[in-house]
Amino acid sequence: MLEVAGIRHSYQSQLVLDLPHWRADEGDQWLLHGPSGCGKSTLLHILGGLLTPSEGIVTLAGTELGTLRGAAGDRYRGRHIGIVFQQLHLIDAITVRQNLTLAQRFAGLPVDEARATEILTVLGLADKANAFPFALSHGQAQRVALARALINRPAVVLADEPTSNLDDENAARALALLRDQARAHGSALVIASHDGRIKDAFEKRLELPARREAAA
Amino acid sequence: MNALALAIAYLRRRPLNTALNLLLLAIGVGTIALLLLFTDQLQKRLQRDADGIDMVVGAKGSPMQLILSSIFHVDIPTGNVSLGNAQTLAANAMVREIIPLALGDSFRGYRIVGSEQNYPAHYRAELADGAWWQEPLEATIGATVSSEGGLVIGDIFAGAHGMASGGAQHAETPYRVVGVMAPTGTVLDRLILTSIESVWEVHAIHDEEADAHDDTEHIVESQSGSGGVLAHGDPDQEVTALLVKFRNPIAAAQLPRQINMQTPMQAALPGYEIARLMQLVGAGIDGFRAFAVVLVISAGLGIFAALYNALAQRRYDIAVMRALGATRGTILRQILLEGVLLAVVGAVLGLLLGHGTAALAGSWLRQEHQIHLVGLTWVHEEIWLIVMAVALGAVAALLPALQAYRIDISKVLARG
Ligand SMILES: Nc1ncnc2c1ncn2[C@@H]1O[C@H](COP(=O)(O)OP(=O)(O)OP(=O)(O)O)[C@@H](O)[C@H]1O
Ligand SMILES: [Mg+2]
Repeated sequence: MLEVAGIRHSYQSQLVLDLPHWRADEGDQWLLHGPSGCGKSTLLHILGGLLTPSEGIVTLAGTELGTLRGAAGDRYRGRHIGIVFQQLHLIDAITVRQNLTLAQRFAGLPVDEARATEILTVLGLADKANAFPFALSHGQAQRVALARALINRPAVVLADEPTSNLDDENAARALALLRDQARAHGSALVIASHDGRIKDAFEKRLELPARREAAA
Repeated sequence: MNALALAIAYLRRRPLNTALNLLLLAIGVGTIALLLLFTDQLQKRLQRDADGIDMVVGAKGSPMQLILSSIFHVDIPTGNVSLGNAQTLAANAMVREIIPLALGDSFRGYRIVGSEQNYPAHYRAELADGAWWQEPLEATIGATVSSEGGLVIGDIFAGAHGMASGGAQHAETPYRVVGVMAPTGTVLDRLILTSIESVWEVHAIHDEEADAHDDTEHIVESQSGSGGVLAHGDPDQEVTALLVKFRNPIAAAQLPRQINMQTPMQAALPGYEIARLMQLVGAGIDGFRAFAVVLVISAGLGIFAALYNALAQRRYDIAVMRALGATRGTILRQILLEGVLLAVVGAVLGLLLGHGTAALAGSWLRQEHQIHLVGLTWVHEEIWLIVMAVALGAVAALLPALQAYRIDISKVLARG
């Protein structure tokens, strides 16, 4: 379903990622794991169509991302890929509900207020629909970010370091929510993390080898 | 959450900055709008009052003063000319019509103008009520004199010497209001019309005290003849000014020069003097306009600075929007929309401000001076103010929008 082949990526001619082949099937839950600087975020961006790899191809649900140019690629990303950022990046100028409907509009989908209400209710945020993001607790903001990633029922959800900076209890809770909701929406889940605490929770793990900083 | 709502949301995120730029733009655009309204209405008003009058003849002095006092009834007259000279001019083949005026008195600031029936006829004035003046010391008043000056038919009033209220009163020879004119939108609305003989009579008594009664009776009788004072008046009498219409265009080239060189009278051309007046007014207006343009440009720079500075904080928002599916074009349009929205709202506020000020200033000017300014009217140049605002907003937002367009999403998000 989500497949990469012959991926190599370099920043300023320094190779940071070399992945000959990897695939995730529908509904799979994967952990990209490895030490800091091994290229987890880079791979996640490549999978999400935010970054074009120096070499190699990414295929999502039969569509090769590299063949989609400009606006078509943006729309495809908006529709089929949900991303939860480490810093959440909710848009502070607009309300929680507007953050969700904006995701619908930018994906080129009709705005569906009922769907927004539904997912906010599922995530226990019904009373925060008209609140502004800066007025939310971190846990609430995390759930809004998750709701925004899931609202368009994407084929895959990508999450970068969802548990960093959280204590054990909150890390476990955040991870459980992410996994449950991805499963409930029928979305595959790919998490990038160097957090040793969550390593054993995943059957499917992609270990990325550490890279020597100055390796040519 | 459409593009407009999003733009408004971002503008509301920095309320002080937004308000400041709106204010700057509104004052600039408002000033320009006010100047447009003022010059347009002044010009139209001057042209309407002077329409059809080819030349004004009066006592020697400033030609501008002659035009101002005899057509627009502001400023004081340059003096009087003898009726004999006027009669000679009336006989000239190049002259089609002459409207004689005898000025000098006023009532509550409204000027009393001795003239003949061709004066109101020239402005196509009609009676709203009553009759035209006929008998000695009868007066027909302009619409404003009635509505604001409070005179009605049957009222008896004494003229005051001079153009401002408060001059010595001609109490022995009061006028009687016999008619009220319908509004004409011209200077006539603010005038009290009577016969030239009435003005003579008032002044004869004033000058020679009470024992000149017989004499004035005699003068008054002479008015009844057709053709008026130019046909039958005593050549030794005086009038203040003559509004002249030419029979053909060649007259404009010959008559004024002839009069100025060969008679003790002065000829002035309204078209020329109005152009000169507008030039003088225009010089002052240019100063204001430059000030307004500086304000508008500062507002443009303010909008640019606001969007440019906001961009630093909005890089993540923009990257996230792109991640959510927004195209580069969507982001570009979003930032442009913000600039244009700010500029258009500022311009609309400015137009409201300009028209509001015009209405306020208009009601004050009407009382203090004889200047007419209304706020509830449009000048077609104003549409250009809106177009200009759209362009200003777009230009101010262009660089920030291009910066946003070029953002490398992966790089921005990797840093967060
Ligand atoms: N825009 C960039 N320009 C140059 N080098 C970069 C850029 N982004 C990342 N790198 C380098 O690429 C390598 C991989 O970075 P990446 O962020 O993918 O690592 P990571 O595995 O996510 O690390 P972490 O666990 O610390 O988040 C690092 O050495 C990093 O310095
Ligand atoms: Mg990382």
